[in-house]
Amino acid sequence: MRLIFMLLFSITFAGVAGVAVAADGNYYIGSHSGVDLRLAPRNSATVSGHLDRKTKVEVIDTRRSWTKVQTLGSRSIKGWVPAGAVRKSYSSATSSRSSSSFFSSFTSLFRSPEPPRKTAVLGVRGLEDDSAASAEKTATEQANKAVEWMETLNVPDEAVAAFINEGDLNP
Amino acid sequence: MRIILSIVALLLITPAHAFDIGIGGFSMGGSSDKASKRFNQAKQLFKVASALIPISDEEERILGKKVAAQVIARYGIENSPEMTYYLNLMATAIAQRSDRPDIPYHVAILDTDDVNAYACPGGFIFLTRGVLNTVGDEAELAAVLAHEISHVTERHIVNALRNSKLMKVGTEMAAEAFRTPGPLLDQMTSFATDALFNGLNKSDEYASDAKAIEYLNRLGYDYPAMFDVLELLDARRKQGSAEVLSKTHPSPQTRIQELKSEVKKLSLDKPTGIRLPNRFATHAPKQQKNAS
Repeated sequence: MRLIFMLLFSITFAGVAGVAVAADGNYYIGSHSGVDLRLAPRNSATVSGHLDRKTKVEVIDTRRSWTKVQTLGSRSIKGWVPAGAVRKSYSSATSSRSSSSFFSSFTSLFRSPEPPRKTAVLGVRGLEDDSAASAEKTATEQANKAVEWMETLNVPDEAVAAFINEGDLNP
Repeated sequence: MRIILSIVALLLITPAHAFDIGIGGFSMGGSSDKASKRFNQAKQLFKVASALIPISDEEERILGKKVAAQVIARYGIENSPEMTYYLNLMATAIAQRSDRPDIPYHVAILDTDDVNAYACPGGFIFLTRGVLNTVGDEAELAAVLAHEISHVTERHIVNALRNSKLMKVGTEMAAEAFRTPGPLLDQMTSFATDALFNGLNKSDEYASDAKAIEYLNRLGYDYPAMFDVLELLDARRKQGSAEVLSKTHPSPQTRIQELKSEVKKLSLDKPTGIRLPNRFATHAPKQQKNAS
């Protein structure tokens, strides 16, 4: 009986851990109202912050039904959340709806590399053409990614209302 | 629409020689007169049919994404999360009171000190670091954003495209171009990008200035800020730091004159005096590092 119980216990938490540590790290907070970030993997632990729904995170540790996550970006914060709140992302552009996730979505500079240069100057062709074509392709890919990133720059209605209110503008 | 296009097609396949004389206006009477009439009718119908080819919001977004990628590839994006967030808050607030509040607007900062701003179809808006270093308070910044947003609300680039030869391919083919990207969409992108980089019609710029005033008024910003922005742009142009803007826009002084006459036609409230220099300053300092 004890053996069966242990087996069931292992299967249950293996599933939870499986969600948390799976593969390549594209995760986000899936719970509707977001989730509190705690200093330790238990409900009684101090709340150190709050992550809104769709905030992108990196999973850095798991402990039974808890997952330690870190938000992306330069202002990254880390802490423990219930494992069930973390979801695997299958799309590259998960839209963010809050200021915290807005900042955390700002993960890279998206600066374009050197602008595509003109080639075939003075009849020199071949490798230079190839590398220019490659640079152009990279620039285009980066630019496309930057546009995808732009589409995640949504601001929540409450933040806009607060912005208008704070500026004493017309509501 | 299909019926109209069929009629146009039928009229157009009438033997070409039947039109030869009519085109030049040398009517030889009889059948040539009829042919000339039919040709003119066909031309007219084709014009109407072309003008009616719609571009949906989703199609506009597809085009806008491609045009925005061209803008980013040219300049790169400035990594200023807080300023970017502030701009997106402001743009959303303005857009909510615009004539087209039902599409999302997204703003990013371009990594260049040149003073300029771009509005791509579908609500992709870019302000250069140079323009952020030029304006002095939030109302002026809002004026720049409102001007760009109005290019989108008035569909200036989209309408230019709809009137272009590219859209004479017909409704079905145009719709297919958006569904399955290929050479036609590339040509449309190229057309829209050229319009953006080479400048829109002067009348579109004047119209956007007037709309910007309306949007500022609706939101409660001090709308004379729009005039101040144009004065600032004029000063930067004289310093040589608004090179692209000078090539693509009418001169700021001309715009001011046009705007003064347009404002008289608008029904505006009394200026509020809300300029919010302090709130602007809390976001702006990081941008000042490259200020000239």
